Amino acid sequence: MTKTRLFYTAITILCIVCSIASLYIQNLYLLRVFILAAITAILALSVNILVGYTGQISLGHAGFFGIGAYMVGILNVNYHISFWLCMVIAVLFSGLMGLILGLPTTKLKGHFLGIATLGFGVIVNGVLNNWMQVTGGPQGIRDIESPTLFTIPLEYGNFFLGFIVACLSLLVLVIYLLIKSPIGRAWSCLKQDEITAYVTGIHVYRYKLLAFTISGSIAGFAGSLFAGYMTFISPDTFDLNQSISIITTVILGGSGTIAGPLLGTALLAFLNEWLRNFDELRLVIYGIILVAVIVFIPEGIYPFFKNKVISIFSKRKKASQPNTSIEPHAGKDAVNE
Amino acid sequence: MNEQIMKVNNISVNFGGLWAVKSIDMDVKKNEILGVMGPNGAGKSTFLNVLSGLQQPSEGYLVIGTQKISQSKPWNMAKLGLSRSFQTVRLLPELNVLDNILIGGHMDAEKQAWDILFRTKKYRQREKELISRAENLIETLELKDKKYEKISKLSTEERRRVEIARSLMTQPNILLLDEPCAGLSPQETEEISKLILKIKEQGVTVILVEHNVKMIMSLSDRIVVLDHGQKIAEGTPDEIAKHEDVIKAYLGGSVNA
Amino acid sequence: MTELIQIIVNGMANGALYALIALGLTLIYGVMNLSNFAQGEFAMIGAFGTYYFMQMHMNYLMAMILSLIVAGLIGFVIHILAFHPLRKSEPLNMMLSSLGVSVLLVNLSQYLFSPNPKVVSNSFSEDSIQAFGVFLSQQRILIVIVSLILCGFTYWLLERSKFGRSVRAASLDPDTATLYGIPTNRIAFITFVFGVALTGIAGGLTAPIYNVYPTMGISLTLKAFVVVVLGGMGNIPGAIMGGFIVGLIESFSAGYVSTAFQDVIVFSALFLVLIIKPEGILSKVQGEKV
Ligand SMILES: Nc1ncnc2c1ncn2[C@@H]1O[C@H](COP(=O)(O)OP(=O)(O)OP(=O)(O)O)[C@@H](O)[C@H]1O
Ligand SMILES: [Mg+2]
Repeated sequence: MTKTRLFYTAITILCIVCSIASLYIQNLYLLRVFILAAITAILALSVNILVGYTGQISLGHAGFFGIGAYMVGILNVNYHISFWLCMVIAVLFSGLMGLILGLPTTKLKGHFLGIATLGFGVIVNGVLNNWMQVTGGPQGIRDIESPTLFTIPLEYGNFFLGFIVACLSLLVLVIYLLIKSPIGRAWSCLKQDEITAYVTGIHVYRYKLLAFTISGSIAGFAGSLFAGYMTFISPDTFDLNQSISIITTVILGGSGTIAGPLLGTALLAFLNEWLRNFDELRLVIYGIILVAVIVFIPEGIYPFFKNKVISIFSKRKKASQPNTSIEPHAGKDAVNE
Repeated sequence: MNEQIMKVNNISVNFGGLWAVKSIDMDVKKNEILGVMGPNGAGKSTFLNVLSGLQQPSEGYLVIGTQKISQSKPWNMAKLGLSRSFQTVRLLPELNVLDNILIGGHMDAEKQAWDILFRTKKYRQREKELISRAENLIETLELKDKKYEKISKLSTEERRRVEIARSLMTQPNILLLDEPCAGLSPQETEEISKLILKIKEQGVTVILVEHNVKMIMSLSDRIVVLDHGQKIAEGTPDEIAKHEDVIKAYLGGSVNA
Repeated sequence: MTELIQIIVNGMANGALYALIALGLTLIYGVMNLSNFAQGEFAMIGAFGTYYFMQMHMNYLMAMILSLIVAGLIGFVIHILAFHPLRKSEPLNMMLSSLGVSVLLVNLSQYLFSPNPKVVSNSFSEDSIQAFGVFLSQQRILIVIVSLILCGFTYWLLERSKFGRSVRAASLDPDTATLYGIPTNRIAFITFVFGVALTGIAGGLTAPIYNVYPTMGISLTLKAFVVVVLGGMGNIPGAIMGGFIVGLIESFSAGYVSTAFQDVIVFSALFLVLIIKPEGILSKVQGEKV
């Protein structure tokens, strides 16, 4: 219980500090980088629900992202529905799409699932690009309304950043509550061993569907924020590269943790800006770094450093209390395995 | 004691031409320990898989209570009060002992989104109950000092205990144990035997698959012997020890040993 | 009628190409448990190789052979750096590593060769045979023939040769295979290089029909994956059949619907198959043993 309360407090403080800090950022370029990073962070958290907590691959998350953004764009521009209502509809609709994608794909495993979700992304992108009458095709949709929160106009980057930080914090909290709950336990069980899940009465397909639905709606939420911030959307934001970059963010940071995807987002955002110095070689270096990190730190950056810190800490502890360093069952273990 | 809790009716399983289990009938009585034995490859594990819903039978059905079950979804069997352990232990390596046992409480947990997101009193109470139930099990299974230990740091015997604890956490009517003493030393086997008797005392019916003849003879109220997927004998341990087909199946019989 | 035949022939030629790439993909998957998202990039390498060797006044055949060797060598280096170290870690990591390799190769070739498409012309690509009022380009016929021969050769290699037996053992159960003295690591190496070299040939074959450009491999990878899923992972006859199915679906949808929706239709077909038969059309079900 105290752990949960600690988490609450930490999140609240972080949220308040970040929101206030966001009001004082003068540099427009920096503001934009932060806002887009926050949107990426939301996406990363949504993929993490599938990849990290439920053990399902998604290579098509840009599809949900795009559905969320286009839902807002189409409803707002063509039907003049207010932004917030659009956002609600977008979240519900992308959740529904998650459910629909989940129906056939929850029976799939590993690589098959990867390819099926990838196909989903390709299909959505194809539709966005080619269904001219509704999506505007490659030209996309312009002049989406900038949202106003009560009386605060979010078209100002500072306000938008503050708003999005609050959203992100709330989301982190919700995800934390979920994964600590019986739902999270069921997810982690079916991630590690489906047969155990069966014999403990976990309705495996239903929980996978739930994960797909929640993940889809969070990605749709990110999409609607994106549409509200950019006020212009086009299909090439929601392509295969986007899907890949989201899952890469999660795995690099460390899937199955909350801090991992956030850290991954921050690092990759920084890397992207820094690599601008290299111009044409930017993506080449990006690819090399990607491979290098996976080869050398396959478990992800956050767990890697966390374990490092823990091992340094425990080494010190052991050095000071030499008696406890021999664990009673160490020898037995070796015999039995 | 003689009340029937489950009826197995003409169950068969076919693996691409091979009958791993062939036309098995049996009654399971309330609160007995029913031993299932047979040589390697006799179909014991496959039979347990059918009972626990992991394997759909090619023919036949089960009757549990008043329900007739022929093709069931695997997650429904736990709801019908069946729980099991595995021949090779299945635990979640990333979690500690307590969390592994808590998984078994899934069916009784509060899973409404509203309760979870707002941490309602009902939800917190339910979680507390589950945790104390798991802690009780940890105590009865003598795992107390291992409560927060990761599974990977446990010995085989401890792992078997954790798996049994997880099965008991589902509050089963019938507990299926697939060779709970495989790979254990004689002392450890003794410990597990005591544990099984303790479980029986709490009113749980146990179906015990075991290779250790001595152990199964001493524990079981009744024994069923399988060979090549078929039931070749059924009776009390004494009857089984004298049964000709059983002695033949075990190659001249170390049954009395 | 002639239009229909034309569509079928084009579909078959593309299908044979996809089958060839899918063959490499499925071999690598079988032995290394790697969904190689950089597979198409080796077709790109093969195509660029063919282009540049022909610029050096080599004939088409010579250029193809050299570029297949180049693809194999690059594959060798990449295997050492990006996949071999990950052989014991989760399959997901290998897959991500292959995504990184794909990004790297595409952008490196963009840097080295510029994004502008290049045209390869060989003596075949201009000529075509006229039969039943249909123009069949010789290059397309060449593609079908060469692909089928290579698929047949690979099939023979796997089913009949001693090497093939080791490969199959390694892909069924690497641990046991190692116990029996089969050098699984070396087999993984050879399979990877062989698989990407096959794909390199596919690149060389497609070069005279389609232009050569750095991002050409991406859609080939996707198609090859669809083929593999349709045909069942690790199944060579399945890959050939799946290749033709995808090629035909594609050319029919290009002919009768629109080229724009081509990918959407192909992937929708994939979904349909996955819903009806999650293990692929031709594969046998394999349950997990408890
Ligand atoms: N999934 C499966 N597919 C095909 N055959 C199987 C499968 N599972 C078991 N078998 C076969 O069915 C037969 C019975 O196997 P089972 O595991 O039930 O035997 P067992 O009595 O538990 O043996 P053991 O004492 O070794 O545990 C064996 O011949 C086995 O090879
Ligand atoms: Mg068995």
